[in-house]
Amino acid sequence: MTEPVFRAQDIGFSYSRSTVFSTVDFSITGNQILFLLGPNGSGKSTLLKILGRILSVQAGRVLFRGRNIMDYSSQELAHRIAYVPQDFAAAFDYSVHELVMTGRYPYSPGMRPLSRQDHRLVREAISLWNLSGVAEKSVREISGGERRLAVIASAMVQECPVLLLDEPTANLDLHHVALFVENVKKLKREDRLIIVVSHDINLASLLAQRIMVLGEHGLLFYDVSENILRADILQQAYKTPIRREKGLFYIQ
Amino acid sequence: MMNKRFLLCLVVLCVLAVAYLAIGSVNVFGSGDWKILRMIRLPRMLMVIAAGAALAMAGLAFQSLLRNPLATPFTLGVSSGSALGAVIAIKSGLILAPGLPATALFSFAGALIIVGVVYRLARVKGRFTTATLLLSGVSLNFLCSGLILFLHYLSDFTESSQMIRWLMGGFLAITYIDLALCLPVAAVFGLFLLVNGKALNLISLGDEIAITRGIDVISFQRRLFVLASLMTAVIISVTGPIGFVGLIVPHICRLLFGANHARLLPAVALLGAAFLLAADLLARVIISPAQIPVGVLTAILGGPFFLFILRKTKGGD
Repeated sequence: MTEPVFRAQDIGFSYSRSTVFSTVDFSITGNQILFLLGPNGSGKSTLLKILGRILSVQAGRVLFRGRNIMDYSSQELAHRIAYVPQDFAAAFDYSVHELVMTGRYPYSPGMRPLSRQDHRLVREAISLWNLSGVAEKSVREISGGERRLAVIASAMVQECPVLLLDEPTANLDLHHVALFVENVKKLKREDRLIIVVSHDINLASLLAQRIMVLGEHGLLFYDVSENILRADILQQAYKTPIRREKGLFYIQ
Repeated sequence: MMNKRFLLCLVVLCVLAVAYLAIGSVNVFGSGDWKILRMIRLPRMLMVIAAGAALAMAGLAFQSLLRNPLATPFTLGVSSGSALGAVIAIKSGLILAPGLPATALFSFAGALIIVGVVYRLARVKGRFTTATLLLSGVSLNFLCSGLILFLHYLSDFTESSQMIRWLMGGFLAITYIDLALCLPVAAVFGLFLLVNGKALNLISLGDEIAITRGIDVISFQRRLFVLASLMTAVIISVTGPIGFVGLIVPHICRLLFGANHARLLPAVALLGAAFLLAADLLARVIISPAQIPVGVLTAILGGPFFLFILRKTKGGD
Protein backbone atom coordinates (compact mmCIF):
# COMPACT_ATOMS: atom_id res chain seq x y z
CA MET A 1 0.00 0.00 0.00
CA THR A 2 1.27 3.48 -0.83
CA GLU A 3 2.04 5.94 1.93
CA PRO A 4 -0.78 8.44 2.49
CA VAL A 5 -0.16 12.09 1.57
CA PHE A 6 -1.71 13.34 4.79
CA ARG A 7 -2.16 11.49 8.03
CA ALA A 8 -3.88 13.26 10.89
CA GLN A 9 -3.23 11.68 14.26
CA ASP A 10 -5.67 12.65 17.00
CA ILE A 11 -5.66 16.28 15.96
CA GLY A 12 -7.54 18.92 17.89
CA PHE A 13 -8.05 22.57 17.19
CA SER A 14 -9.85 25.38 18.96
CA TYR A 15 -10.14 29.10 18.50
CA SER A 16 -9.81 31.14 21.66
CA ARG A 17 -13.22 30.22 23.03
CA SER A 18 -14.66 27.40 20.99
CA THR A 19 -13.36 23.95 20.18
CA VAL A 20 -13.69 23.20 16.48
CA PHE A 21 -12.78 19.52 16.76
CA SER A 22 -10.79 17.21 18.97
CA THR A 23 -9.17 13.80 18.43
CA VAL A 24 -9.82 13.59 14.71
CA ASP A 25 -7.97 10.82 12.93
CA PHE A 26 -7.74 10.12 9.19
CA SER A 27 -5.44 9.46 6.24
CA ILE A 28 -5.70 10.90 2.76
CA THR A 29 -4.06 9.16 -0.17
CA GLY A 30 -2.87 10.90 -3.30
CA ASN A 31 -4.16 10.99 -6.86
CA GLN A 32 -7.75 11.86 -6.17
CA ILE A 33 -10.25 14.65 -5.69
CA LEU A 34 -11.52 14.81 -2.12
CA PHE A 35 -14.43 17.00 -1.06
CA LEU A 36 -14.89 18.31 2.47
CA LEU A 37 -18.58 18.77 3.16
CA GLY A 38 -20.51 19.72 6.26
CA PRO A 39 -22.70 22.44 7.72
CA ASN A 40 -21.42 25.94 8.49
CA GLY A 41 -19.13 26.04 11.48
CA SER A 42 -18.22 22.35 11.30
CA GLY A 43 -14.59 23.28 10.68
CA LYS A 44 -14.11 22.49 6.99
CA SER A 45 -12.09 25.60 6.27
CA THR A 46 -10.17 25.20 9.51
CA LEU A 47 -9.20 21.66 8.55
CA LEU A 48 -8.13 22.82 5.10
CA LYS A 49 -5.97 25.54 6.66
CA ILE A 50 -4.39 22.97 8.97
CA LEU A 51 -3.52 20.81 5.96
CA GLY A 52 -1.93 23.89 4.35
CA ARG A 53 -0.13 24.75 7.62
CA ILE A 54 -1.78 28.14 7.73
CA LEU A 55 -3.05 27.06 11.13
CA SER A 56 -1.31 24.55 13.35
CA VAL A 57 -3.02 21.93 15.48
CA GLN A 58 -2.97 22.28 19.25
CA ALA A 59 -3.27 18.55 19.87
CA GLY A 60 -2.05 15.55 17.91
CA ARG A 61 -0.04 15.99 14.75
CA VAL A 62 -0.34 16.09 11.00
CA LEU A 63 2.07 14.03 8.94
CA PHE A 64 2.66 15.13 5.38
CA ARG A 65 4.25 12.28 3.42
CA GLY A 66 5.29 10.59 6.60
CA ARG A 67 6.97 13.65 8.13
CA ASN A 68 5.48 16.08 10.65
CA ILE A 69 4.14 18.98 8.60
CA MET A 70 5.68 21.44 11.10
CA ASP A 71 9.17 20.19 10.20
CA TYR A 72 9.02 21.39 6.60
CA SER A 73 10.50 24.76 5.72
CA SER A 74 8.12 27.33 4.25
CA GLN A 75 9.94 27.06 0.97
CA GLU A 76 9.66 23.24 0.87
CA LEU A 77 5.97 23.41 1.60
CA ALA A 78 5.38 26.11 -1.01
CA HIS A 79 6.69 23.66 -3.61
CA ARG A 80 4.35 20.92 -2.41
CA ILE A 81 1.05 22.41 -1.24
CA ALA A 82 -0.84 25.22 -2.96
CA TYR A 83 -3.85 26.90 -1.40
CA VAL A 84 -6.76 28.99 -2.63
CA PRO A 85 -8.31 31.09 0.15
CA GLN A 86 -12.02 31.63 0.56
CA ASP A 87 -11.76 35.41 0.59
CA PHE A 88 -9.37 37.45 -1.39
CA ALA A 89 -9.47 41.22 -1.18
CA ALA A 90 -6.50 43.05 -2.65
CA ALA A 91 -5.61 46.35 -1.02
CA PHE A 92 -3.63 47.46 -4.07
CA ASP A 93 -4.06 47.42 -7.83
CA TYR A 94 -2.07 44.37 -8.87
CA SER A 95 -2.87 43.26 -12.39
CA VAL A 96 -4.31 39.78 -12.94
CA HIS A 97 -1.04 38.90 -14.63
CA GLU A 98 0.97 40.02 -11.60
CA LEU A 99 -1.29 38.08 -9.26
CA VAL A 100 -0.87 34.87 -11.25
CA MET A 101 2.89 35.43 -11.31
CA THR A 102 3.05 35.36 -7.50
CA GLY A 103 2.37 31.61 -7.82
CA ARG A 104 5.84 31.24 -9.31
CA TYR A 105 7.59 33.17 -6.52
CA PRO A 106 8.52 30.00 -4.58
CA TYR A 107 10.73 29.05 -7.53
CA SER A 108 12.64 32.33 -7.74
CA PRO A 109 13.40 33.49 -4.20
CA GLY A 110 14.90 36.89 -3.46
CA MET A 111 15.60 39.20 -6.36
CA ARG A 112 15.99 36.46 -8.95
CA PRO A 113 13.71 37.29 -11.90
CA LEU A 114 11.16 34.75 -13.09
CA SER A 115 12.46 32.38 -15.75
CA ARG A 116 11.16 31.97 -19.26
CA GLN A 117 9.54 28.73 -18.09
CA ASP A 118 7.79 30.65 -15.28
CA HIS A 119 6.43 33.18 -17.74
CA ARG A 120 5.24 30.43 -20.05
CA LEU A 121 3.34 28.70 -17.22
CA VAL A 122 1.75 32.01 -16.23
CA ARG A 123 0.63 32.67 -19.81
CA GLU A 124 -0.80 29.17 -20.13
CA ALA A 125 -2.70 29.43 -16.85
CA ILE A 126 -4.16 32.80 -17.83
CA SER A 127 -5.51 31.42 -21.08
CA LEU A 128 -6.63 28.12 -19.47
CA TRP A 129 -8.74 30.08 -16.96
CA ASN A 130 -10.10 32.38 -19.66
CA LEU A 131 -8.46 35.48 -18.22
CA SER A 132 -6.58 36.70 -21.30
CA GLY A 133 -9.04 39.55 -21.81
CA VAL A 134 -8.50 40.94 -18.32
CA ALA A 135 -4.84 39.98 -17.81
CA GLU A 136 -3.60 43.56 -17.59
CA LYS A 137 -6.58 44.84 -15.59
CA SER A 138 -6.39 45.49 -11.87
CA VAL A 139 -7.65 42.65 -9.70
CA ARG A 140 -9.89 45.23 -8.05
CA GLU A 141 -11.61 46.17 -11.31
CA ILE A 142 -12.62 42.73 -12.58
CA SER A 143 -15.71 40.78 -11.51
CA GLY A 144 -15.77 38.67 -8.36
CA GLY A 145 -15.89 35.50 -10.45
CA GLU A 146 -12.90 36.50 -12.54
CA ARG A 147 -11.00 37.40 -9.37
CA ARG A 148 -11.72 33.93 -7.98
CA LEU A 149 -10.43 32.28 -11.15
CA ALA A 150 -7.33 34.50 -11.07
CA VAL A 151 -6.51 33.32 -7.54
CA ILE A 152 -7.10 29.70 -8.58
CA ALA A 153 -4.84 30.22 -11.62
CA SER A 154 -2.13 31.69 -9.39
CA ALA A 155 -2.27 28.65 -7.10
CA MET A 156 -2.20 26.35 -10.09
CA VAL A 157 1.05 27.74 -11.52
CA GLN A 158 2.63 26.83 -8.21
CA GLU A 159 2.59 23.31 -9.71
CA CYS A 160 2.21 21.51 -6.42
CA PRO A 161 1.21 17.87 -6.04
CA VAL A 162 -1.38 19.00 -3.48
CA LEU A 163 -3.96 21.67 -4.23
CA LEU A 164 -6.28 22.95 -1.47
CA LEU A 165 -9.34 24.94 -2.56
CA ASP A 166 -11.67 26.71 -0.13
CA GLU A 167 -15.11 27.26 -1.68
CA PRO A 168 -13.70 27.68 -5.19
CA THR A 169 -17.09 28.01 -6.86
CA ALA A 170 -18.74 30.44 -4.44
CA ASN A 171 -19.91 33.51 -6.43
CA LEU A 172 -19.09 31.90 -9.75
CA ASP A 173 -21.71 32.06 -12.48
CA LEU A 174 -22.62 28.87 -14.38
CA HIS A 175 -20.21 29.55 -17.20
CA HIS A 176 -17.32 29.87 -14.73
CA VAL A 177 -18.42 26.79 -12.78
CA ALA A 178 -18.35 24.80 -16.03
CA LEU A 179 -14.84 26.10 -16.71
CA PHE A 180 -13.83 25.14 -13.18
CA VAL A 181 -15.16 21.60 -13.53
CA GLU A 182 -13.46 21.16 -16.88
CA ASN A 183 -10.10 22.46 -15.64
CA VAL A 184 -10.14 20.52 -12.40
CA LYS A 185 -10.74 17.33 -14.40
CA LYS A 186 -7.68 18.23 -16.49
CA LEU A 187 -5.63 18.85 -13.38
CA LYS A 188 -6.69 15.55 -11.93
CA ARG A 189 -5.13 13.67 -14.81
CA GLU A 190 -1.76 14.95 -13.71
CA ASP A 191 -1.66 12.76 -10.63
CA ARG A 192 -2.53 15.25 -7.97
CA LEU A 193 -4.34 15.36 -4.68
CA ILE A 194 -7.03 18.03 -4.87
CA ILE A 195 -8.98 18.82 -1.72
CA VAL A 196 -12.05 21.03 -2.09
CA VAL A 197 -14.12 22.60 0.65
CA SER A 198 -17.58 23.24 -0.71
CA HIS A 199 -21.23 23.68 0.08
CA ASP A 200 -22.22 22.42 -3.32
CA ILE A 201 -23.24 18.77 -3.08
CA ASN A 202 -23.95 18.59 -6.79
CA LEU A 203 -20.43 19.85 -7.56
CA ALA A 204 -19.12 17.09 -5.30
CA SER A 205 -21.12 14.50 -7.22
CA LEU A 206 -19.51 15.75 -10.45
CA LEU A 207 -15.91 15.75 -9.23
CA ALA A 208 -15.28 13.91 -5.98
CA GLN A 209 -13.81 10.43 -5.66
CA ARG A 210 -13.98 10.53 -1.89
CA ILE A 211 -15.88 12.74 0.50
CA MET A 212 -15.23 13.67 4.08
CA VAL A 213 -18.22 15.00 5.99
CA LEU A 214 -17.61 17.05 9.10
CA GLY A 215 -20.22 17.48 11.80
CA GLU A 216 -20.43 19.30 15.09
CA HIS A 217 -17.98 17.02 16.83
CA GLY A 218 -15.50 16.28 14.10
CA LEU A 219 -15.43 13.64 11.42
CA LEU A 220 -18.90 12.29 10.66
CA PHE A 221 -18.39 10.25 7.49
CA TYR A 222 -15.41 9.55 5.29
CA ASP A 223 -15.85 7.25 2.31
CA VAL A 224 -15.93 6.99 -1.46
CA SER A 225 -18.43 9.46 -2.83
CA GLU A 226 -21.05 6.86 -3.90
CA ASN A 227 -21.46 5.88 -0.27
CA ILE A 228 -21.79 9.46 0.95
CA LEU A 229 -23.92 11.03 -1.75
CA ARG A 230 -27.16 9.45 -0.58
CA ALA A 231 -30.16 11.34 0.65
CA ASP A 232 -30.19 9.58 4.03
CA ILE A 233 -26.50 10.25 4.80
CA LEU A 234 -26.65 13.91 3.73
CA GLN A 235 -29.86 14.37 5.68
CA GLN A 236 -28.01 13.23 8.76
CA ALA A 237 -25.04 15.49 8.03
CA TYR A 238 -26.99 18.67 7.36
CA LYS A 239 -29.97 17.88 9.60
CA THR A 240 -32.20 18.95 6.73
CA PRO A 241 -34.63 16.89 4.62
CA ILE A 242 -32.91 16.24 1.31
CA ARG A 243 -34.14 14.28 -1.69
CA ARG A 244 -32.41 13.06 -4.79
CA GLU A 245 -33.92 13.24 -8.24
CA LYS A 246 -32.23 12.22 -11.49
CA GLY A 247 -28.83 12.39 -9.82
CA LEU A 248 -29.32 15.88 -8.36
CA PHE A 249 -29.91 16.80 -4.74
CA TYR A 250 -32.69 19.11 -3.63
CA ILE A 251 -33.85 20.49 -0.32
CA GLN A 252 -37.25 19.08 0.38
CA MET B 1 6.80 52.98 -21.04
CA MET B 2 7.64 52.20 -17.38
CA ASN B 3 11.34 52.64 -18.08
CA LYS B 4 10.66 55.97 -19.72
CA ARG B 5 8.77 57.18 -16.67
CA PHE B 6 11.53 55.94 -14.43
CA LEU B 7 14.13 57.75 -16.51
CA LEU B 8 12.03 60.90 -16.37
CA CYS B 9 11.93 60.72 -12.56
CA LEU B 10 15.71 60.33 -12.52
CA VAL B 11 16.16 63.36 -14.78
CA VAL B 12 13.78 65.41 -12.61
CA LEU B 13 15.76 64.44 -9.51
CA CYS B 14 19.06 65.46 -11.11
CA VAL B 15 17.70 68.80 -12.33
CA LEU B 16 16.26 69.49 -8.89
CA ALA B 17 19.55 68.60 -7.23
CA VAL B 18 21.48 71.05 -9.41
CA ALA B 19 18.86 73.75 -8.89
CA TYR B 20 18.94 73.08 -5.16
CA LEU B 21 22.68 73.69 -5.02
CA ALA B 22 22.57 76.74 -7.27
CA ILE B 23 19.56 78.62 -5.97
CA GLY B 24 19.60 80.39 -2.65
CA SER B 25 20.18 83.70 -0.89
CA VAL B 26 23.83 83.58 -1.93
CA ASN B 27 24.70 83.00 -5.57
CA VAL B 28 27.51 80.49 -5.05
CA PHE B 29 28.41 80.08 -8.69
CA GLY B 30 28.63 83.85 -9.18
CA SER B 31 30.50 84.71 -6.00
CA GLY B 32 32.56 81.56 -5.94
CA ASP B 33 31.73 81.07 -2.27
CA TRP B 34 32.29 77.32 -2.33
CA LYS B 35 32.31 77.05 1.42
CA ILE B 36 28.55 77.65 1.53
CA LEU B 37 28.12 75.01 -1.10
CA ARG B 38 30.33 72.48 0.61
CA MET B 39 29.44 73.02 4.25
CA ILE B 40 25.76 74.01 4.02
CA ARG B 41 23.96 73.26 0.76
CA LEU B 42 25.60 69.97 -0.16
CA PRO B 43 25.06 68.18 3.17
CA ARG B 44 21.56 69.62 3.35
CA MET B 45 20.78 68.43 -0.16
CA LEU B 46 22.09 64.94 0.53
CA MET B 47 20.10 64.83 3.76
CA VAL B 48 16.92 65.92 1.96
CA ILE B 49 17.46 63.18 -0.62
CA ALA B 50 18.09 60.57 2.07
CA ALA B 51 15.11 61.67 4.16
CA GLY B 52 12.75 61.90 1.17
CA ALA B 53 13.70 58.47 -0.11
CA ALA B 54 13.68 56.95 3.37
CA LEU B 55 10.32 58.34 4.47
CA ALA B 56 8.69 57.41 1.18
CA MET B 57 10.06 53.86 1.39
CA ALA B 58 8.97 53.57 5.02
CA GLY B 59 5.49 54.72 3.98
CA LEU B 60 5.40 52.05 1.31
CA ALA B 61 6.56 49.44 3.81
CA PHE B 62 3.89 50.36 6.36
CA GLN B 63 1.19 50.42 3.69
CA SER B 64 2.09 46.92 2.57
CA LEU B 65 2.50 45.67 6.12
CA LEU B 66 -0.90 46.98 7.19
CA ARG B 67 -2.48 46.35 3.77
CA ASN B 68 -3.77 49.87 4.01
CA PRO B 69 -3.01 52.54 1.42
CA LEU B 70 -3.60 55.25 4.01
CA ALA B 71 -0.83 54.13 6.37
CA THR B 72 2.23 56.36 6.79
CA PRO B 73 5.59 55.99 8.54
CA PHE B 74 3.94 57.76 11.47
CA THR B 75 0.77 55.66 11.77
CA LEU B 76 2.28 53.28 14.30
CA GLY B 77 3.53 55.87 16.73
CA VAL B 78 7.16 56.43 15.68
CA SER B 79 6.80 60.14 15.14
CA SER B 80 4.69 60.86 18.20
CA GLY B 81 7.19 58.96 20.33
CA SER B 82 10.06 60.94 18.92
CA ALA B 83 8.11 64.20 19.24
CA LEU B 84 7.44 63.42 22.88
CA GLY B 85 11.13 62.71 23.42
CA ALA B 86 12.13 65.97 21.75
CA VAL B 87 9.58 67.97 23.74
CA ILE B 88 10.84 66.43 26.99
CA ALA B 89 14.41 67.34 26.05
CA ILE B 90 13.43 70.92 25.26
CA LYS B 91 11.37 71.28 28.42
CA SER B 92 14.11 69.89 30.66
CA GLY B 93 16.75 71.97 28.88
CA LEU B 94 19.18 69.05 28.90
CA ILE B 95 22.42 69.60 27.04
CA LEU B 96 24.83 66.81 26.07
CA ALA B 97 27.75 69.12 25.41
CA PRO B 98 28.04 72.86 24.99
CA GLY B 99 25.96 73.76 21.96
CA LEU B 100 24.64 70.21 21.61
CA PRO B 101 21.12 69.90 23.02
CA ALA B 102 19.78 66.44 23.83
CA THR B 103 16.82 66.81 21.48
CA ALA B 104 17.98 64.36 18.80
CA LEU B 105 18.98 61.68 21.28
CA PHE B 106 15.78 62.04 23.28
CA SER B 107 13.61 61.97 20.20
CA PHE B 108 15.31 58.79 19.02
CA ALA B 109 14.89 57.22 22.45
CA GLY B 110 11.24 58.29 22.57
CA ALA B 111 10.58 56.71 19.19
CA LEU B 112 12.26 53.47 20.26
CA ILE B 113 10.24 53.25 23.46
CA ILE B 114 6.93 53.79 21.70
CA VAL B 115 7.82 51.34 18.94
CA GLY B 116 8.77 48.79 21.58
CA VAL B 117 5.49 49.26 23.41
CA VAL B 118 3.46 49.01 20.19
CA TYR B 119 5.37 45.87 19.33
CA ARG B 120 4.67 44.29 22.72
CA LEU B 121 1.00 45.24 22.61
CA ALA B 122 0.55 43.89 19.10
CA ARG B 123 1.88 40.47 20.03
CA VAL B 124 -1.09 38.51 21.22
CA LYS B 125 -0.19 34.95 22.19
CA GLY B 126 2.97 35.03 20.10
CA ARG B 127 1.04 36.10 17.04
CA PHE B 128 1.45 39.44 15.43
CA THR B 129 -1.70 40.77 13.86
CA THR B 130 -1.98 43.88 11.77
CA ALA B 131 -5.28 44.89 13.34
CA THR B 132 -3.86 45.00 16.87
CA LEU B 133 -0.73 46.67 15.52
CA LEU B 134 -2.81 49.43 14.00
CA LEU B 135 -4.97 49.86 17.09
CA SER B 136 -2.08 50.00 19.54
CA GLY B 137 -0.15 52.39 17.29
CA VAL B 138 -3.06 54.76 16.90
CA SER B 139 -3.94 54.76 20.61
CA LEU B 140 -0.34 55.46 21.60
CA ASN B 141 -0.34 58.32 19.11
CA PHE B 142 -3.18 59.85 21.08
CA LEU B 143 -1.41 59.30 24.38
CA CYS B 144 1.76 60.98 23.14
CA SER B 145 -0.11 63.92 21.65
CA GLY B 146 -1.84 64.40 24.98
CA LEU B 147 1.46 64.39 26.87
CA ILE B 148 3.00 66.77 24.34
CA LEU B 149 0.13 69.20 24.77
CA PHE B 150 0.47 68.95 28.54
CA LEU B 151 4.23 69.72 28.48
CA HIS B 152 3.59 72.47 26.00
CA TYR B 153 1.03 73.99 28.34
CA LEU B 154 3.58 74.00 31.17
CA SER B 155 6.27 75.66 29.05
CA ASP B 156 7.37 79.25 28.86
CA PHE B 157 7.43 81.21 25.66
CA THR B 158 10.95 80.27 24.52
CA GLU B 159 10.50 76.57 25.18
CA SER B 160 7.14 76.64 23.54
CA SER B 161 8.42 78.18 20.33
CA GLN B 162 11.32 75.71 20.27
CA MET B 163 8.85 72.84 20.58
CA ILE B 164 6.63 74.11 17.82
CA ARG B 165 9.66 74.67 15.64
CA TRP B 166 10.84 71.08 16.18
CA LEU B 167 7.40 69.68 15.49
CA MET B 168 7.31 71.43 12.12
CA GLY B 169 10.32 69.50 10.86
CA GLY B 170 13.01 70.86 8.61
CA PHE B 171 16.60 70.80 7.43
CA LEU B 172 18.28 73.71 9.19
CA ALA B 173 21.92 73.17 10.18
CA ILE B 174 22.47 69.71 8.73
CA THR B 175 26.03 68.49 9.23
CA TYR B 176 28.01 65.67 7.70
CA ILE B 177 27.68 63.86 11.02
CA ASP B 178 23.90 63.78 10.57
CA LEU B 179 24.45 62.42 7.11
CA ALA B 180 26.85 59.75 8.33
CA LEU B 181 24.09 58.66 10.68
CA CYS B 182 21.15 58.71 8.30
CA LEU B 183 22.53 57.64 4.93
CA PRO B 184 23.69 54.13 5.93
CA VAL B 185 20.47 53.40 7.80
CA ALA B 186 18.37 54.49 4.83
CA ALA B 187 20.57 52.52 2.45
CA VAL B 188 20.35 49.32 4.49
CA PHE B 189 16.58 49.65 4.73
CA GLY B 190 16.26 50.29 1.00
CA LEU B 191 18.34 47.21 0.30
CA PHE B 192 16.22 45.12 2.65
CA LEU B 193 13.06 46.20 0.85
CA LEU B 194 14.61 45.64 -2.55
CA VAL B 195 15.68 42.09 -1.71
CA ASN B 196 12.24 41.36 -0.27
CA GLY B 197 10.15 42.82 -3.08
CA LYS B 198 8.39 39.52 -3.70
CA ALA B 199 7.68 39.01 -0.02
CA LEU B 200 6.17 42.51 0.11
CA ASN B 201 3.90 41.66 -2.82
CA LEU B 202 2.82 38.46 -1.11
CA ILE B 203 2.12 39.91 2.34
CA SER B 204 0.08 42.69 0.80
CA LEU B 205 -2.08 39.99 -0.85
CA GLY B 206 -2.98 38.44 2.51
CA ASP B 207 -1.47 36.17 5.15
CA GLU B 208 -2.87 32.94 3.73
CA ILE B 209 -1.45 33.48 0.26
CA ALA B 210 1.88 34.66 1.67
CA ILE B 211 2.24 31.68 4.01
CA THR B 212 1.46 29.12 1.34
CA ARG B 213 3.88 30.76 -1.09
CA GLY B 214 6.90 30.37 1.10
CA ILE B 215 6.94 33.45 3.36
CA ASP B 216 7.40 33.18 7.13
CA VAL B 217 4.78 35.86 7.53
CA ILE B 218 5.10 36.55 11.23
CA SER B 219 8.87 36.87 11.27
CA PHE B 220 8.90 38.88 8.06
CA GLN B 221 6.28 41.30 9.38
CA ARG B 222 8.26 41.65 12.58
CA ARG B 223 11.49 42.46 10.74
CA LEU B 224 9.71 44.86 8.42
CA PHE B 225 8.03 46.68 11.31
CA VAL B 226 11.22 46.96 13.38
CA LEU B 227 13.44 48.04 10.49
CA ALA B 228 10.97 50.57 9.08
CA SER B 229 10.39 52.04 12.54
CA LEU B 230 14.10 52.24 13.35
CA MET B 231 14.90 53.97 10.12
CA THR B 232 12.05 56.43 10.52
CA ALA B 233 13.20 57.13 14.08
CA VAL B 234 16.77 57.89 12.97
CA ILE B 235 15.60 60.25 10.22
CA ILE B 236 13.08 62.07 12.39
CA SER B 237 15.56 62.53 15.22
CA VAL B 238 17.59 64.66 12.80
CA THR B 239 14.88 66.37 10.76
CA GLY B 240 11.78 66.37 12.93
CA PRO B 241 8.57 64.83 11.64
CA ILE B 242 8.09 65.66 7.97
CA GLY B 243 4.64 64.50 6.99
CA PHE B 244 2.92 63.53 3.77
CA VAL B 245 6.00 62.31 1.88
CA GLY B 246 5.40 58.81 3.19
CA LEU B 247 1.73 58.94 2.29
CA ILE B 248 1.64 60.65 -1.08
CA VAL B 249 4.72 59.33 -2.80
CA PRO B 250 3.83 55.60 -2.64
CA HIS B 251 0.35 56.54 -3.86
CA ILE B 252 1.56 58.48 -6.88
CA CYS B 253 4.09 55.79 -7.71
CA ARG B 254 1.41 53.09 -7.69
CA LEU B 255 -0.54 55.13 -10.22
CA LEU B 256 2.53 55.57 -12.40
CA PHE B 257 4.29 52.23 -11.98
CA GLY B 258 1.69 49.72 -10.77
CA ALA B 259 1.56 47.84 -7.50
CA ASN B 260 4.43 45.38 -8.01
CA HIS B 261 7.02 46.20 -5.35
CA ALA B 262 10.00 45.16 -7.45
CA ARG B 263 9.25 48.05 -9.78
CA LEU B 264 7.63 50.29 -7.20
CA LEU B 265 10.50 50.46 -4.74
CA PRO B 266 13.16 52.25 -6.81
CA ALA B 267 10.47 54.59 -8.10
CA VAL B 268 9.29 55.40 -4.58
CA ALA B 269 12.83 56.13 -3.39
CA LEU B 270 13.52 58.31 -6.40
CA LEU B 271 10.27 60.23 -6.32
CA GLY B 272 10.39 60.60 -2.53
CA ALA B 273 13.79 62.26 -2.84
CA ALA B 274 12.63 64.46 -5.74
CA PHE B 275 9.43 65.48 -3.94
CA LEU B 276 11.19 66.51 -0.76
CA LEU B 277 13.97 68.26 -2.70
CA ALA B 278 11.38 70.33 -4.57
CA ALA B 279 9.52 71.11 -1.35
CA ASP B 280 12.64 72.14 0.52
CA LEU B 281 13.83 74.25 -2.40
CA LEU B 282 10.51 76.07 -2.33
CA ALA B 283 10.73 76.37 1.44
CA ARG B 284 14.10 78.09 1.06
CA VAL B 285 13.16 80.54 -1.69
CA ILE B 286 9.49 81.40 -1.13
CA ILE B 287 10.17 84.09 1.50
CA SER B 288 13.92 84.34 0.91
CA PRO B 289 16.17 85.20 2.69
CA ALA B 290 13.99 83.70 5.44
CA GLN B 291 12.99 80.03 5.26
CA ILE B 292 9.79 78.13 5.92
CA PRO B 293 10.16 74.79 7.76
CA VAL B 294 9.70 72.21 5.01
CA GLY B 295 7.29 70.15 7.13
CA VAL B 296 4.85 73.05 7.00
CA LEU B 297 5.15 73.22 3.25
CA THR B 298 4.72 69.48 2.64
CA ALA B 299 1.57 69.56 4.75
CA ILE B 300 0.15 72.62 3.00
CA LEU B 301 0.97 71.28 -0.47
CA GLY B 302 0.46 67.64 0.35
CA GLY B 303 -3.03 67.84 1.80
CA PRO B 304 -4.82 69.37 -1.21
CA PHE B 305 -2.68 67.42 -3.65
CA PHE B 306 -3.61 64.19 -1.96
CA LEU B 307 -7.31 65.05 -2.02
CA PHE B 308 -6.97 65.79 -5.72
CA ILE B 309 -5.43 62.37 -6.33
CA LEU B 310 -8.07 60.63 -4.23
CA ARG B 311 -10.83 62.25 -6.22
CA LYS B 312 -9.19 61.37 -9.51
CA THR B 313 -8.73 57.72 -8.59
CA LYS B 314 -12.12 56.84 -7.10
CA GLY B 315 -10.97 56.83 -3.50
CA GLY B 316 -8.34 55.08 -1.50
CA ASP B 317 -10.45 52.12 -0.46
